[in-house]
Amino acid sequence: MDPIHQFQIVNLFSIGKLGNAEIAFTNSAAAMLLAVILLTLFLVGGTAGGRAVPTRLQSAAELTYEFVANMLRSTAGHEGMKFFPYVFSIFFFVLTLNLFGLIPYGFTVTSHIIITAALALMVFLTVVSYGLIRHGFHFFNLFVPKGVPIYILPMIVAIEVLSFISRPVSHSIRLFGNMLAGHIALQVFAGFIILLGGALGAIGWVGGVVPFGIIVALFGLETLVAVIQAYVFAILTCIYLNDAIHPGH
Amino acid sequence: MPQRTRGCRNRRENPAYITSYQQLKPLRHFLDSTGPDQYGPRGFAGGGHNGRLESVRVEAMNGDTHGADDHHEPPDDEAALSARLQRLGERLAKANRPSENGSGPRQTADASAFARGFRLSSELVGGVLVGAGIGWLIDRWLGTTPWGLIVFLLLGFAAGVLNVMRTAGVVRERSLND
Repeated sequence: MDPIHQFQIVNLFSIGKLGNAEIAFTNSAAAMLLAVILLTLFLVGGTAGGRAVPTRLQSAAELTYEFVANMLRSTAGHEGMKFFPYVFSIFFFVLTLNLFGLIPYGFTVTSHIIITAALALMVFLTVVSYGLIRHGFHFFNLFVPKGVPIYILPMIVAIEVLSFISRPVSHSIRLFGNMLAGHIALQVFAGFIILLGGALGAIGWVGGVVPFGIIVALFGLETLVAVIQAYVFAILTCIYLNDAIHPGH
Repeated sequence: MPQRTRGCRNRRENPAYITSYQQLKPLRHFLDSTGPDQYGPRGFAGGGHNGRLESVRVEAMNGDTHGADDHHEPPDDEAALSARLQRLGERLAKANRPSENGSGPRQTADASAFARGFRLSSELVGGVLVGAGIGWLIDRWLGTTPWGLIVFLLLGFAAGVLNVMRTAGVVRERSLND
């Protein structure tokens, strides 16, 4: 009945101790490990044969490659392809975790902000470090628009810097918020059915058809959101990487 | 890509170029696919990519005034075609304006209105949160309570609004060239 209960982290077993903090293998870690194993099996299995006429599995693996490669090329250009493994991993990792959350009794890893924030910070640090290595201090010109009068330049630079720093925040909040809100809404409407049945008996169970219908519709929406948010997360990664590759554009 | 940026920068002071370029951008596939050198008004035969587009602009601008200077008037079918092209360009530009404005790749991220709405709101919230956080930290380190929080919260709000406007394509992306 508690709509937050589904997000609880459960320690499955303990791995060891780091100082006073216990390092435990949690249900979240289990879901992530399962996602990585599934993806690895899918891709290794799909590319193992390497036939000219692809099998079904190989065809599916090639489709995923084409999809991400097109996304990356259209946003970051051909130079962006050196980040292909990174973007591919992020997209399919997030997509698989989002879809895990839709399986009954499944655990939604991406509904924890620590996960999405870690992913977004990784992207942010990649952008900053690659931009600095590639362009040196020229990269900081990103914050200094030309043709601005000198007396408002400090304020503009401060706003640009804040706008840049706020990227990982909005990047992570978006995925986390979508998954959290969607799953809470599902749970709340499911709770309505039980409340109605418990309070009104037979009439309540019949009336529970209404929230049940809403759950069915919401589940469809959540499936869409799970895919779209993984896509948005990946394409924003591409857009941010594009800034690191071509800060002048 | 680099060609286009350079072209934009050189002619930034000329708004007519920019609008006509935007209007004609959707037309380019159509024009390329039908062989530009044998097709369309005189202007289309000229030079390279940018040159061709620029001469289209000249044609389009002359379209308004060509009654006045007779020696410049093209044959009838060409005039009709260029007028039709201009109208089509205007219609396409009108239809594409919200998404075409400045941010090419970003429009693909807007897979649905729901995603877009959430994206805009999180951009604003992100800006305000970062501003407040930095202001609070500065206050803590420098003991300037409450001025750091006030100033940076306002700056963060401005950054959030800027993010939202960039995401919505109302203002241009930041760039080094201008």
